[in-house]
Amino acid sequence: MAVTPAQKRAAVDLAAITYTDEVNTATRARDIQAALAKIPAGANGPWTLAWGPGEVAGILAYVARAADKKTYGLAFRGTLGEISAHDFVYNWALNGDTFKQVPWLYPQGADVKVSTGMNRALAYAIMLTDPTTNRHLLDYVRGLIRASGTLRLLVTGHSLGGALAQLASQWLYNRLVEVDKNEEVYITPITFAAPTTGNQQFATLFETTFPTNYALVNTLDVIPRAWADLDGLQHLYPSPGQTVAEFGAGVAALLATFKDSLALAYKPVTRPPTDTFTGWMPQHPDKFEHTLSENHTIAIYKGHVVAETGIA
Amino acid sequence: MPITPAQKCASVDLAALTYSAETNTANREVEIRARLAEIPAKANGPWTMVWGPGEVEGIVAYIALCKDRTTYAMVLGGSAHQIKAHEFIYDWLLNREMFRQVPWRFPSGNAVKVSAGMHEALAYVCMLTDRTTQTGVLDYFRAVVAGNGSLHLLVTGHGLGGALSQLVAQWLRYQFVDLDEQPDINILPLTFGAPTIGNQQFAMLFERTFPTNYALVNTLDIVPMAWWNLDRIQRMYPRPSQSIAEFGVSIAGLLALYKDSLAAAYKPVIAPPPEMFSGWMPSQPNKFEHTMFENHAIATYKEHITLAM
Repeated sequence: MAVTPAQKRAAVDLAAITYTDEVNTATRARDIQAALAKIPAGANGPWTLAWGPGEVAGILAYVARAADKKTYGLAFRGTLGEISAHDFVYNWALNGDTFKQVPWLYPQGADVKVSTGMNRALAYAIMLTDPTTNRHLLDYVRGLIRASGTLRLLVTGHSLGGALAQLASQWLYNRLVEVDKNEEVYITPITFAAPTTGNQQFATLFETTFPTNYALVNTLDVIPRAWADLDGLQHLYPSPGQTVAEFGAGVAALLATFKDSLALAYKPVTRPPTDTFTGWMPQHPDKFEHTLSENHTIAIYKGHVVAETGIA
Repeated sequence: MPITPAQKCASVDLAALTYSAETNTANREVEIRARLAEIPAKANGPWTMVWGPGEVEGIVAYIALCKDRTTYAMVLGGSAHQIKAHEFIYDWLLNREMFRQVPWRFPSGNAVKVSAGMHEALAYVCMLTDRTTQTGVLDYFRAVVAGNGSLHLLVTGHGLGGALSQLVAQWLRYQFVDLDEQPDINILPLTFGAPTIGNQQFAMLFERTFPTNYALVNTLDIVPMAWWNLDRIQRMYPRPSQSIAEFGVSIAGLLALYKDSLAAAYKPVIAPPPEMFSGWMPSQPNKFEHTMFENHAIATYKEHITLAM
């Protein structure tokens, strides 16, 4: 069963809403609730905040319930400050966490590995609690299953939040289905602009667990090319003014040095094939950084989803 | 109810086993099982491993059950190898995770904060699973409580594992007593050579939650002086050749630079007071690093427990 237009349309709003009040945490829960209430009926809205938002070490997530009262959405925020692709490339290229992969635990074995940084993000996601009940995410979701015998859950996020949505989906499936032995659990991962998180074995595991999953990628966005396709990233925008080398000689050198080893270590999920669109290429040569930031925003992804689904 | 000699004796043996087969992890499970079986009857042995060992990012944990099957132990190891005090200072002084404290959530509120690094270590404990059963720590103990109606648990570790034991004890107790309102939960934290992990509010929360807790500190071990008493580390061992400045000028400089701000941010648990003993001071001037290493070793802590019995 393919992901429906309503699911995609809901997911892009749920993912965008994670960036609400990044700095002003006092008003965040209220403003997230208000934004969820505005999700259109065509996207199973209005939605209501059901758990969270929880935040630990910059990792933020919440669970919302759809108008049908049967569908839930778990949304993860990308990096704090809706990070510019520029910062992303700098931070990650210079961060040892990318170069080290750790064994995957859900389930253990079979040489499945994911990046150290994303594994840490998942550890924090597991640790997250609701600010009122202080309950962990897993315990909240188990409560939903106890109450109704079933769970329909979209798991979504943009950028690093999208990568984390993949890991969290696999973690929840392992806990709720493989370990707890629940039968009526339907988890649908929907990601926007997500970088690759693990090795070939992880990609295969994910594809097997979630024959129904959805990933949307702007072909002009550098982030989804990390870390499997740094080669493509080098040539993404034309000269003059927009090549990586013109952006920063140091970054270009790092990409050239590491692209082959990272391409071996990281393999993207390819089943079902990623849905792609072509974003924004300036008519006149622009700065690499500007082209890159514009093409990574959740707004450009939402624009495509709205146009494609016809749900305003 | 005070901690019993048998509990102390068991804990120091259990904590030591987190260092089993550190490099050859394939043998770790076998080795821990074999050594648990050797824990003497006076420490309620032999013990049996019932969960783990699990490891993520150098954080090692296992759960064991004592001979009479009344008491479980959650045992934590905080570094991939029996860390030398030397590396400890270097790694931590140069690690920004110590300078940042994050809000504590179990329970949340009241300005309780712990070091970002130890908080990350707790996140890894939340993540760990048993290789065979795939069960997480919380779910394992939930099954015990569901089966027995009660849980009697020692939480223990040495060094960073001891610090992590305090966080894990507080986290577990919050889940079972505060959230699940289970009536018969008895959790006892026992630490050996543990550094301080949180602010004054954390220390007070911990003291209130665990009026019965046990910390053993060698007064010649620098690790328990982190991070609230770097001033003492500066003067711990005598000249010649054993002062911190002789060990490393840059480390001495960092200690002097940070000791006041860290002493303001980190406060030790003091109720009940830690049990103290004085370890090993060489009769001849020795190297700072050697004195430091010997005094932090779990063997030194175990020797004290054995003599006290």
